Amino acid sequence: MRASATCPKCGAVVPADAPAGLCPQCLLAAGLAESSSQAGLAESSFKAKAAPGEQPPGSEKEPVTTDWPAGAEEPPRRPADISEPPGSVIAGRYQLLEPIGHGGMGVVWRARDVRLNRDVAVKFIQADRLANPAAVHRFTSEAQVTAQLQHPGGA
Amino acid sequence: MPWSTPTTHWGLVLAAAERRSSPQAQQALEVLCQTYWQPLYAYIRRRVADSVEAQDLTQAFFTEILDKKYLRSVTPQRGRFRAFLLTACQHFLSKHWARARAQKRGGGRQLLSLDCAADKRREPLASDRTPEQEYERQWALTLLATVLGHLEREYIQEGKRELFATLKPFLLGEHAGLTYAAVARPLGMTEAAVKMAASRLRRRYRNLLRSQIAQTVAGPEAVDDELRHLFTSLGR
Repeated sequence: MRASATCPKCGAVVPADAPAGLCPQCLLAAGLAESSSQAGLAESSFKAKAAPGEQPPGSEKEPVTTDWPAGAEEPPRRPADISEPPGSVIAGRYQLLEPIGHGGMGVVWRARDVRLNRDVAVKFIQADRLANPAAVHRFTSEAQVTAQLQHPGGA
Repeated sequence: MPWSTPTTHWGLVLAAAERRSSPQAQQALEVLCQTYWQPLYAYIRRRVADSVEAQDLTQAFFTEILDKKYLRSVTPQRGRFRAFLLTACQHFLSKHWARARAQKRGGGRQLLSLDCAADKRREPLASDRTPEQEYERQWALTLLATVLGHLEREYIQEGKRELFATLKPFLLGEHAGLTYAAVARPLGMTEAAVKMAASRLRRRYRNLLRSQIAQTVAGPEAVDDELRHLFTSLGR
């Protein structure tokens, strides 16, 4: 396999099987409706994902989701700090309790999963990071690893 | 997939299942199967030991689809065609393995040749992706390749092969490594004209991509959601 190139647009490694040698994620981003990217920017620049604190036996691993409002040729802009008020319910199930940390990519909240009645950590990724598929990938991978580490069946 | 076909992927499958399909629809269904051969192959390849068996099983799956035997036993849920096809394939594999265990194989079934798909086959890259993740990733790549191929054919038909080849990288927009000014002279165009041509190319590409995706989801309102989902699947 030949060495993969780097996408000049987003900086991610372009896989060897990319169509026409172009970054497939940026190609998909270019398909977003212009109005949609604007709406995504206005409505949900942040999207919650949860790393489970404890899971009921037999439950599935927490699905990891990331939002992707950008698409378009200009990445979204939003202040770096998040301003969700405590008590807000994210994704219809995670009630934010208190912020417990922040880092280069976003803010972590202690939250309550009201659907499964358990404590979780909800991490927000900054909107401008969402314009970078490599950052989204890192964010998602980190969440997956975290979810595995905190599973009660784990070491 | 012929772009002139007015119906959706769902329409083709449902018509086939209900034996309402015209010869044209049958042909379109065959093209549909060829188009989505690669994601299904990649999925099956991750579930069996070798590529030959994966090819056989992929062909057998589409043979059943085209013979409509399998479709009659499935109740398609409106939604993503991608998810439906994966579920159908999983069902097919379960049945196949159950049958194989019972009969120790050797049914002497005649497989339909899908040679045109074979020459497009790509072996999935080595990774730790699950079969389902590989399927979705290949689905996204196939979708993009289909749309880019159609776009290129359109430009070639208009005598603009060189223009397409030069402007293709601008599908991602202008960036530091590639400027309109840099390609204007070789194309014999002004920078402004190149910028306008690239903008037209991106607009046509976006429309084709959205049109193709719209055929695989329940309605046009789901296109952006599907785009985001496929985007995520490529990041795995």
